[in-house]
Amino acid sequence: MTKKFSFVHEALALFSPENGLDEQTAANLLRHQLQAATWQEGLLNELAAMLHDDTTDWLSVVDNETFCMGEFEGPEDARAFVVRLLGPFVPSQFAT
Amino acid sequence: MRARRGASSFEMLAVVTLVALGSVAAMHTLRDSVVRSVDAVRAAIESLSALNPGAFERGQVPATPASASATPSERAPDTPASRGEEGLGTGGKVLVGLAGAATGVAVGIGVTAGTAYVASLACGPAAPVCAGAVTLGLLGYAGYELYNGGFAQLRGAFGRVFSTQRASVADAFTVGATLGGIAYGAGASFGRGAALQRGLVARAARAGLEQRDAIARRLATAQAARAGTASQRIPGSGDAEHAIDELPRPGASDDLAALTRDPDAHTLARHGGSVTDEQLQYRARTGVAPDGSTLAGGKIPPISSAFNSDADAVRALAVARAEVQRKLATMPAGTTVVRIDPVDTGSVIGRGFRRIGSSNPNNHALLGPLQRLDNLTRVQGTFRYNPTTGTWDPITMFPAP
Repeated sequence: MTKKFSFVHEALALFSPENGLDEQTAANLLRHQLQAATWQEGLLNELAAMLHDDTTDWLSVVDNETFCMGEFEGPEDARAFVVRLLGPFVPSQFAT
Repeated sequence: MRARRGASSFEMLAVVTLVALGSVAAMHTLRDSVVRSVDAVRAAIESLSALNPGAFERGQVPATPASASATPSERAPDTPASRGEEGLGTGGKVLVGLAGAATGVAVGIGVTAGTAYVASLACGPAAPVCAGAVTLGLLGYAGYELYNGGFAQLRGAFGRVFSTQRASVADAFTVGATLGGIAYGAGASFGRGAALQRGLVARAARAGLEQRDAIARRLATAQAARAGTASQRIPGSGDAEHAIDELPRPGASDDLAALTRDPDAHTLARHGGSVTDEQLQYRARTGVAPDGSTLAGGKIPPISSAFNSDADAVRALAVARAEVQRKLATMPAGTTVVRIDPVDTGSVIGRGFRRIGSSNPNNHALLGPLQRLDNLTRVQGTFRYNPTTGTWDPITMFPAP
């Protein structure tokens, strides 16, 4: 089984309870990862595309077979969580 | 995995070593030993009889006279010839030859296990290289002995044993030990014998590596104690001796050092061999890890687990790093942090507790009893590339179901 690589999925996974990292360590690792231009552009572009795509399944973005980021009331709640968590790591013009 | 790869190298080296030993060490060392032993026993009996002929009938045990250990050259001129050099008939040849063969096999087993154990203990991951050096040394010794009269002596012994001539005890023993050693080497190279040989080598190598870890731990403990370093454990987490065991180990092997090398590493502090079941249960109920840390939002991880020993963590590291390399192939260039999903290590490495219900510790309605998980064989973790060492070092790594 091969899954398509996802920057957003990998970034969220660092903060997931399944991964067992405290928030500070996970943030340090993501910042370290984003020093690579491929990651910076990749995460920005993928997240932007997901936010502009009305068909994005936000609940499965935060709750899937790899991790469950918590309890969410609906897709909007899940979407807001992702923006709140990953927004500080990408350029400010995006995090709106 | 490491032990299995090492076993195959050890096996070949040990077989070569045995053939060399069977033909040379048996010839000289064992031959001389047999001659000296037979002579010493005979001298002791004769001396005791001469000093006090009735002693054995009365149950007395006289002191051993100095002459009992006399070498053949030191004996009085009228002393009979060495029994080690006395002649044997066909029956004697067979009996002594069988004893020699058994000794040759025993030496083979001992050399195999001993080489694997000592090489692993002394050289750790480089054990096959050390075993190779030992083998080269033994081969050199064998060549030296053969060149300096050993070959003629061996040929003479075989000639006397496999002919109608009378052969000495030393001749028969030498021939038996030589054939026994060679038979062991050949048997250990094929089929069932090879499988047994691999098992023997793997067990001995594992024992050597574990002993090496234990020594490294003691050295690190002593060093930490000298430096007055404080424990990193939280109160109530176990006895002080174990707490010191959890400190970084500057004198330990590279793999063990790698577990604590990254500045953000917490594998041993939260999942190491000295983390107790009570600490795991506490984390599974409250979200507070053994080092006092918590996840974002105070969430409880679905599994709270620990390695059964630090040695298990080191073994799991090799498998985890291989998985990192596999996953890396699917990730973009420039990746420096890799998270791996659970991957099987092939052996039991730890245990843990699964929370039942919500990850929110304040949601008591959804919290249920903990489920104990024994015999965990998979490992999961997050790794960061270390440009200094060129290795992927764990930030966290833990047993997973």
